[in-house]
Amino acid sequence: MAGESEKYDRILKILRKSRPDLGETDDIEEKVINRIILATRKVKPSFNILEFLFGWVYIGWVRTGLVAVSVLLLAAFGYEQAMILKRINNLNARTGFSESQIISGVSGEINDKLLFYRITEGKQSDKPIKISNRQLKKLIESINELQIKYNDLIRIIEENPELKKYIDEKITENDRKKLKL
Amino acid sequence: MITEELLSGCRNGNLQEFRKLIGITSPFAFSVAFRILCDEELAKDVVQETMVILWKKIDLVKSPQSFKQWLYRIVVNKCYDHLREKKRRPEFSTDESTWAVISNHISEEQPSALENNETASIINLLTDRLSPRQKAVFVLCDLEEMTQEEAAGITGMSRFNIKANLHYARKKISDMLKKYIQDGR
Repeated sequence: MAGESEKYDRILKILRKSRPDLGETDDIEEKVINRIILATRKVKPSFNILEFLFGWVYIGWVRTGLVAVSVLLLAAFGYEQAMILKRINNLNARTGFSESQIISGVSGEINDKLLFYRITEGKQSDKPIKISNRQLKKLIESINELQIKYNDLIRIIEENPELKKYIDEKITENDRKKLKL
Repeated sequence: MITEELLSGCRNGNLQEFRKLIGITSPFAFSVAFRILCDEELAKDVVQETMVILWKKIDLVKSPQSFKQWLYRIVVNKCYDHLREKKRRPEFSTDESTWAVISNHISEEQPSALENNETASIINLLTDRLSPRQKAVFVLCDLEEMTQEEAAGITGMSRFNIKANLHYARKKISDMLKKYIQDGR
């Protein structure tokens, strides 16, 4: 038994004497510092809107599903808004065009000014309406065109004073309505 | 020497101070890890993992006195993980040549220090039949020459368990020496 104990002690003595040699610690130091720097970079807090909104969902596929649905809803909402705006603009343009055509059948800035002048009976206009020669020529042309088109109609009206009076009254009435609008 | 200034520098996130701490502590951590795992590369990995944990949890170290025990506890726990992994895929078999080397060293009047690979194969052979706990207690008490109180603090076992595990470890190693080493060699 003493022999076994001696063997045990001797082997322990050898193993204690043979302390494992790590060598230079620079390599380990470098590797550890790199791992720490990498880990710090990875966990750097960054504000993520998706994390903020859906961070409470812990199941991966549920979170992905919610994100996908919300993106789809947002896209649909954006598309709807774009379509509504487009329609409003379209209707707006049509209204302006129709009002211009009431006067002469020709759209343009000068016709809008004339309509305004006619509605306000010249009272609201501080400055005189300036028009170019070209616009004046166009206006005269459109009046001539109308005169030719409705020549017969004008003659009938001229011949019948009652009809003329009735039409004048209607026109005045319409102008008043427009002014109220 | 671990000082309060060094620990305080590390707690404040000073990497240069932490580099110094690695330089001081890694040889000790490596010694324990190598003697338990008997694998140089694995032991170096354990040292690295330990140092990363040390950096993350340095705030938990209250004083330089408790630092050593805290460090060894991380090393031993990491070694347990690797030993459990090793147990699942055993790769060691009794090697006659290693027994011959042990026999030669025992018979020498003034035995010389062993190389890392020789140390690893001898410890591996002697502790092959020990459980991870017995192995850890044997390494800490008999090879690292720690007291049973220190070993209890590191492993989290009671003093009684340390005593019992150390007894069984010594007995199993002695039985192997009796079986494989002939008297007079």
